[in-house]
Amino acid sequence: MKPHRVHAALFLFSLLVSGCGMRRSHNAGLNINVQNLNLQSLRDFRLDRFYQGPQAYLVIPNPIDSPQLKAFDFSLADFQRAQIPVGLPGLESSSALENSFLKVRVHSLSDSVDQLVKPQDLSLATANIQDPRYSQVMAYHAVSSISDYVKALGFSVDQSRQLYVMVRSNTDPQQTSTSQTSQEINAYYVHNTYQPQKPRYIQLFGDVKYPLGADRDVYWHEFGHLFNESISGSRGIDDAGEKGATFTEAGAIHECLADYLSETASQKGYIGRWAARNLSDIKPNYPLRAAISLNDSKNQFASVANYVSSRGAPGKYDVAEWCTRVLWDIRSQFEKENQDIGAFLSDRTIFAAVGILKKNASMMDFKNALIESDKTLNGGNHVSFINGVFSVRGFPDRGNPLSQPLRLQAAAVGFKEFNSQMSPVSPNSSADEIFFSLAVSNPNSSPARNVRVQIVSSDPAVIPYVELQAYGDLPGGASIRVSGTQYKDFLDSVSLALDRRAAGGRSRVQFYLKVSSENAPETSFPVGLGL
Amino acid sequence: MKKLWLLISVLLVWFLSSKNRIEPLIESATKRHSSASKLGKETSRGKRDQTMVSSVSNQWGIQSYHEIQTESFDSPMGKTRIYSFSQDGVPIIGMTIRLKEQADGSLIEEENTYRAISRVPIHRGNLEAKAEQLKTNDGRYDLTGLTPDSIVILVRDGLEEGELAFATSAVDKARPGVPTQLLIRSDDGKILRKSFGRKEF
Repeated sequence: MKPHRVHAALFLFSLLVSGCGMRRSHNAGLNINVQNLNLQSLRDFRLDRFYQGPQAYLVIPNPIDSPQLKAFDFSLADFQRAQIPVGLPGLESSSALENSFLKVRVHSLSDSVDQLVKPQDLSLATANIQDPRYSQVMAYHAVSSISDYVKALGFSVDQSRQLYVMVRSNTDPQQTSTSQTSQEINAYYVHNTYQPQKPRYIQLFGDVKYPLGADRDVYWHEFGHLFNESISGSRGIDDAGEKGATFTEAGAIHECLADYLSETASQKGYIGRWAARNLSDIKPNYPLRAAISLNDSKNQFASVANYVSSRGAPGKYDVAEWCTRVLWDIRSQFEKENQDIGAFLSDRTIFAAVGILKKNASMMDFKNALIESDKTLNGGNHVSFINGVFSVRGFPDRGNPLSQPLRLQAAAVGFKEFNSQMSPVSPNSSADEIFFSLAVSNPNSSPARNVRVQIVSSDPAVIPYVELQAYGDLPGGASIRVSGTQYKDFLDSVSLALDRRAAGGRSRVQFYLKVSSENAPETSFPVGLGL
Repeated sequence: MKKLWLLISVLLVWFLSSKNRIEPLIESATKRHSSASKLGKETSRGKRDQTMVSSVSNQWGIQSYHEIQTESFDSPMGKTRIYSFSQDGVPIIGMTIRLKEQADGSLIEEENTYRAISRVPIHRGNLEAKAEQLKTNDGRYDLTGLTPDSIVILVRDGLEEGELAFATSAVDKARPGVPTQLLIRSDDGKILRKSFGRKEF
């Protein structure tokens, strides 16, 4: 071969190699940046390797989902055989399972020392699953492990206040006396947004055969709420829910993300199979909620998100469950692309999206945030997939633009307490609380998306209590009605009180009720009330 | 001419491969080293935080009687810095400055509700008496959990001054199964805010 041909061939070869390199890079997800991921910690977590700190023996995540047990009812010997070692890192006290951030208790913040598990008594404490001491150990393991997991994904956790976990809680954990809620089977996270001197709480209720405190899912879900507030810097992504709205899309997103955290971290795709065994309305072996698609009504948005006159606003947990199925589809796609770390990349993308949600976020905001997060972290490799999966799950985005505004009729109704009963009174400053009889109608032929009613006022004489209520998607020609004669009939309305002192001598106040949706022109309804 | 062909080939391979370097999926030793030396950088970070607080104070005209608390949250999308305020140790609700730190270190103002409201007089003795009075009132709310030290300053739209309020948990006789949290104006017992901040399982 002649020398100049050798050089020409070399040139062409270099072009070919470079070109192949570019194509290969693209397919391998060149734009995905894995900085800030602590892969070793994440892999250990996935394999249930918790080595740091004093060891305790637990059945994880709970008896029915434990690969070693897989049972609701079992002998003591079987239970003991299924216990695996878990380290409890960061313990800083010899009298309780606690450190400067996390404090595990039974009933209240100030339990007596004899009720609390000491780090040196871990094996005694975990002998019996019914024992609240077992739940204390599970609480410490669950919260510290999930906290480490999200840190390994590159997020920080809000530790500006302490987190108290009460495994058999009093209603008010600041009160030492045991309260009346032992019949209740539930768990809650309390952020104490408007009580800045108070710590955060995770409260578990119910002395039951299948204790919630023995299920790691429960703590991971409740921690998920704290995590949502951490990522969003307590911006108030569900501020309206915090102030008493019975339904908002933001409230559903909050629950969806809390479920998703538990479901992805446990790699199960469902939550609460152990806890649900206490509930007669859920068949044995079925979970409380599932991110994986089941043969039920939670797979399509239209079947969970509509306002139905016989039932009212959508169920927050139904919309949340639909939302987790969307997120699980996204996670599955990431895993398909990368079996090893795809799920971690999915989690990082999904939770990073929460950081850019605004106050009182909508499902549309969440979808857009997921797309923005993917563009920033993964070069937008999954944008079309995210759009596609929302579409396949029936999410209509903002819906068809509607030409006519929604119509609102409203009448103020006052209530005041007399002898522990709420009685109707004139809607003025003497009322404890003023609600509205509402009728919102959609005169268009297509649905109005995410219909909301909001009090709009900058007058200090108007004190909004429930400032915003949402009612879901309102079909064309349909109406929302909130009315009645008793206090409880108005809990789906917005509410306020009037402050005569801030009125500066005026005898009346003026403000607006605004009706908004994703796709109809806004409507404002002027309201005037006497003081 | 021959050398030119060779040079072009070599340069092209180098240029294209360096621009499309594949990010390693496993943490590099350098990265592990940098996270291990994180603690050593804490002191300089602390100084940086102090500088930022003083910069915030100057830039937004923070009054000398308003103490600034700083929190920051990390996310793969960037850091968020939140400045909240208190007066004489009493938290102020309704005034926040929220900044988003960009990848290049520059800050974007996301929210600023700070107002240079005048100093709110706080008389601890009066608060104790008022707290006792509110607790014994036989009204709609059971306020046995109310304590005089659990106070906040609430800043509301349309008012030039902050209002001193007790922040307390309460039992609403109209909804006894739903724990309620209230901000109650300290001098007349007016309920300024209600919240029901329980997220359920």
